[in-house]
Amino acid sequence: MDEYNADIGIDRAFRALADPTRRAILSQLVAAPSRVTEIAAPHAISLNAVSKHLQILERAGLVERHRRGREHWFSFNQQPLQRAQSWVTETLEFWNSQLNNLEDYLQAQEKVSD
Amino acid sequence: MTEIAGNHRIEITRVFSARPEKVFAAWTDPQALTSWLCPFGNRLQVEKLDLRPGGRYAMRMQGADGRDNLITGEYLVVDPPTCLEFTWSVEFLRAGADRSQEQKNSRVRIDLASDGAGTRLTLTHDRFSTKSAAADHRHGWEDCLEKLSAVTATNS
Repeated sequence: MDEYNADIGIDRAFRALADPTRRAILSQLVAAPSRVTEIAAPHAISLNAVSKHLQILERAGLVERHRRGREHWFSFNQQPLQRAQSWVTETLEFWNSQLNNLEDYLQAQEKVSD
Repeated sequence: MTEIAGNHRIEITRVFSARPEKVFAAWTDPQALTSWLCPFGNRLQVEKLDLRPGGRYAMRMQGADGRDNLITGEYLVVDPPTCLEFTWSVEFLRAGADRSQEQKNSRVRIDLASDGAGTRLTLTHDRFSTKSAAADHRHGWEDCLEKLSAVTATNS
């Protein structure tokens, strides 16, 4: 992900999380995927307003929309969080295996020379 | 072997029985690199290696799994036998690869110190090579991740 796109992604996610209603909605979706009416129920705001919040969360990649027949379900998307962590896991794995190779190589060298 | 990980930095320390000069040579001699720097089943070709600060390198890593990566970078520090630092960018050459996963301008640093007759090697890999890029990302992501953890924690 080049830095420009990464920055846009971070900005969107950050702004999405900056609103308390959206944090509450996200919190609800973490517990279970839900439909718009279920999401709106705990809040004293219109379905329209909830839809707008969901749109922002979707654009930030934090929420995914699925269609089942005529119903739209929304669920929490872990990917943005996992992406930062996967760099660490993959990079550690890569270098650990390279350093194993280096160890084998150096030992083979020692047997040949000196 | 110790590992330290932050959001954007990993650090690995290992001890080798070879002398620092030998370990440093393994990292800087094209023939040596071809022998060990490649994941299992992959082939490495060193296309260019200009070993001096500001000098560039290019290595092609190809694998049986179809991977075809071009790794390029610039040497920042060349201090035999104690320190080698270089940028590390990966380009996926295979058609259809997910290029959003490519690594751009990360930074790798190798510190070598005598350890008895052997060498203690510390490898540090920073996801971002410039302080400002790292700071922007760190500020954005850490705040994001904190808020996200708070949200997910209340529901797990």
